Amino acid sequence: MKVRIDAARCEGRGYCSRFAPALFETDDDGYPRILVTDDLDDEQLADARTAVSACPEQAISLHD
Amino acid sequence: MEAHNATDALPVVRRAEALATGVGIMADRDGEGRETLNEYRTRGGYPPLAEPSAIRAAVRAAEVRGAGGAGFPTAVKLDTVAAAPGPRVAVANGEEGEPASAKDRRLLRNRPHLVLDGLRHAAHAVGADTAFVYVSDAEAAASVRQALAELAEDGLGAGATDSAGPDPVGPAGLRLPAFAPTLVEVTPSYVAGEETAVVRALGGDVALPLPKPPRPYEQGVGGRPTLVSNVETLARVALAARGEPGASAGDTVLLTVVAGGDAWVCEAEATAAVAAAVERVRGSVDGVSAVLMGGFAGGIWRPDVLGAAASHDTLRAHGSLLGCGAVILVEDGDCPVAAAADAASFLAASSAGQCGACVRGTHVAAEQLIAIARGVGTAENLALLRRRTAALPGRGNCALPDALAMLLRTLDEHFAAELDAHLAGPCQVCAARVPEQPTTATRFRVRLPHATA
Repeated sequence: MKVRIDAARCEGRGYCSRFAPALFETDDDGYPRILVTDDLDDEQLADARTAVSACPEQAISLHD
Repeated sequence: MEAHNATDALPVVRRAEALATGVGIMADRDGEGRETLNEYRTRGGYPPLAEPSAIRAAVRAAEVRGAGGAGFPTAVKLDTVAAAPGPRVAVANGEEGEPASAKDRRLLRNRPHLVLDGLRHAAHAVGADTAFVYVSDAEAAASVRQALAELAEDGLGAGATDSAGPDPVGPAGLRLPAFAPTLVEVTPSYVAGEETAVVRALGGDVALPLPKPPRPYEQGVGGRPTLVSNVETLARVALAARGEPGASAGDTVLLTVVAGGDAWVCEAEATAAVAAAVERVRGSVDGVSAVLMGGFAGGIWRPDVLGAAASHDTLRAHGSLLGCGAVILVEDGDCPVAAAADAASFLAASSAGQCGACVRGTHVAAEQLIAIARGVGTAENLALLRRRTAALPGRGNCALPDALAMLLRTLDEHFAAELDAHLAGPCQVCAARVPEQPTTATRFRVRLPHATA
């Protein structure tokens, strides 16, 4: 599984980097970039799922 | 001063030039005006279709690469769409969003049948039962419309194959799948030609990029696997499918060379230096202080970049991009910082406004460069520019922020002394030519007059 951000939905609230700092880093305005673009391992997948549920804009999703 | 956006100051395509070697898209027919169906057919156009796997093999053997910007191997794309569960869609993408590129418009205006034949082969190769031609240039659209009318009149186009089974034999003896592409005109914009924006627009939505995955080859128009191919790419598919003698269809690329008020569309050998093409159309590579490669996507370079071969792989290895093949020469008397500020201004103003990271990030970055260029910048502006540049890549649904990052990073790497000089004192060129705020009115927007079409 890979993690994906819909940048058009993102409002830069920064929950993703707070809950999964190994997967996301944010710029000066709080907008994220994905740090792991390959398939996620189990630990990363668990972190990604936390970020998916934490994002208030539902901008994060997981894809095969 | 408003000279930077005066239409009459924009570069104009003076000439289109084929290779003297007689290979490539422009070589077998480089006359002025639009090629008719009969003319195209006498040059071997619309041959009987081979088996889909044979067409894909021919495209693979010819090493055709995507000519819209990414340079992705076309055969891989064809194989992927063909392997996906149907029904499938094929799209000829003629929306040329790069302001300094004119080669796609010229191709559509000049050789619409070569593009349509390529779409016909590509659609057959992937098993698509629906096809679109997606353009924004009005004259290109008129050319395609006329070509489709010629096909219909000839019995090869819309409705002509309704009663036939798979792979029917047309009235002229051509084996045709139901080939009736729909022409779709879109409002031009920098992002409208991005593949997910294309898919979205063809589905009746706005022409704005979507997040990936899924890619269109997985889930495109109406959720169907969709082949989105640039029109030059499809022209090469047509040449590859009929086994043009002498050279492979992937041996050449179309370039748009821009210098001051002049521009040229030309075919170039992918193994020869970009400089060779520049010398053919402009006479020499002298008097050039900087080069914007790949339109606004491949960064700004010292002129020695022209020594690299005109291929995706070579320029990528160099750290740049061939992109859509637009090569902008910044001539002596102009200013590389002014040129970069113009391009940065355009990119920031071209943000579709849907991704917050792009809206904020590109504007803040462009504003720092504009301040430096216009002589009101400080070391703080430069520090902020660098921080923003590093933060831009990978934060939007499309590659616009990445293009701006490449431009700003290469400006800093290759023109550090010029940036310092702009911090130290005003530059007359920048004062006259750099806009005060980001604007889509770039001075590198190439005009393609009717006479060269």
